[in-house]
Amino acid sequence: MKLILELFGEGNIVLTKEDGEILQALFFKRMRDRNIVRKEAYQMPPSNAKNPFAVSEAELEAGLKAAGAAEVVRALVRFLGVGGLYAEELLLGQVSKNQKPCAALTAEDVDSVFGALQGLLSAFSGQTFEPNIVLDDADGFVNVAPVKLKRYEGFKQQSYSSFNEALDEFYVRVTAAEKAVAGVDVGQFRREAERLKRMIAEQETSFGG
Amino acid sequence: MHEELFTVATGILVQKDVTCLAKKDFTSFDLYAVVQELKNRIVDARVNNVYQLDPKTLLFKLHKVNEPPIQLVLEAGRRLHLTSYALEKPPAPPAFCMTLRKYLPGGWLSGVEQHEFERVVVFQFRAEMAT
Repeated sequence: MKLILELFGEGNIVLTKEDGEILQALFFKRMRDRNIVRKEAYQMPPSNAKNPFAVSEAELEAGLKAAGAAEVVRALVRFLGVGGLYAEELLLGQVSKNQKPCAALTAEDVDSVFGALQGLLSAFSGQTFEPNIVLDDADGFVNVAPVKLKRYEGFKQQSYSSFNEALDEFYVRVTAAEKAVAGVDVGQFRREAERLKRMIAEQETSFGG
Repeated sequence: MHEELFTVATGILVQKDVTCLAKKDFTSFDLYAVVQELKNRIVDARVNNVYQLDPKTLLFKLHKVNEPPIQLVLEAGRRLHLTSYALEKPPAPPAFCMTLRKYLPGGWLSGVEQHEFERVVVFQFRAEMAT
C-alpha cells in the first residue's frame, strides 16, 4: 500500500495498491500527460529537470547554454527544478551572471555556479541542517528554511532543533492568520465604520449647534 | 486597505503576521530535508488513525513503542511536517478519509521517500488488505 503526496501545483494525495493501482485520491483528474483515475496505474508527473545531486558540471553548462537568451536564474529554475529562491541563492554575489543571457556564460561563470550548487548540496547531503524561521522587523514570519540562506543575511532568524519543528511553528501561525483573515466579514466592518462616522457627525452637529 | 482591515478585524497579532500570508513554496530542498528527518522519526511506526482536517489536509496519528505519540500533517500542494499541536478535527470523516481508514490503521509505516528530487513523497505501508 502506498500513499503519494504531491506538493506541486494544486497538489494531490493518492492511495495506491503495492503495484501502483489507484484506489482513492483527493482529486481524480485526466490530464494531458497522465491520469489520476481509480483502478488505473499511478504515474509520476513527467519532469525535464535534472536532479541537482546527480548533475555534472558539463551537463549544467550544456543545459544553461541551451537556454540561449533566457536569464540564468530562470534557466536554473527550469534545468534543476529547484525553485526561484534557491536558484537566486546560487547566483547571489554573482550579479553579472544573473543578468547575462545564458548563451553568454563563460566556462568560469558556469564553474562558479556549479561550485555554489555543490556548497549548497553539501549542507543537505551531510544533513548539517540549520533550521530557522526568518523574521521581519515586526517579528512577522518571512520564510522558513532548513539551512541558513545568504538571501536572508541581515534578517532576524529564529533557530530550531529540527526542520520539522520550524515548519510546525511556521505553518501553525500562518494557518491561524489565514483563517482569521478568511473569517473577516468586510461588509460588516464597513457598515460599522459608516455607523460610527454618522454618529460622530451627528454629535459634532449637536455640540456645534 | 488590507492592513487597516486586519487591524480592525483581528487586532495587532494578525497585523504583525501579514507577511505570513505571502505564499511559501515548499521547495524540493525543503522536502529533501523533511524526508531525511522523517525517516528517523516515523519509519516503523504503527498507524493509530488518520483524520482529514480540510479538503486538502490529512493528520496521521502514529505510534512507536516507548515513544510519545507522533502526529504527521500532509497538505496537498503545500506542506509536510510533524506537529506537536492539537489540531481541530471535523466530527465526520469525508469519503477519502474513510477509504484511508479502511486500509491504513493498524498497519505500519515502512518507508518514506522523496521521488527523485521532485516535490512528490511516497509513503509505504505494511497494512492488511481489507476484504
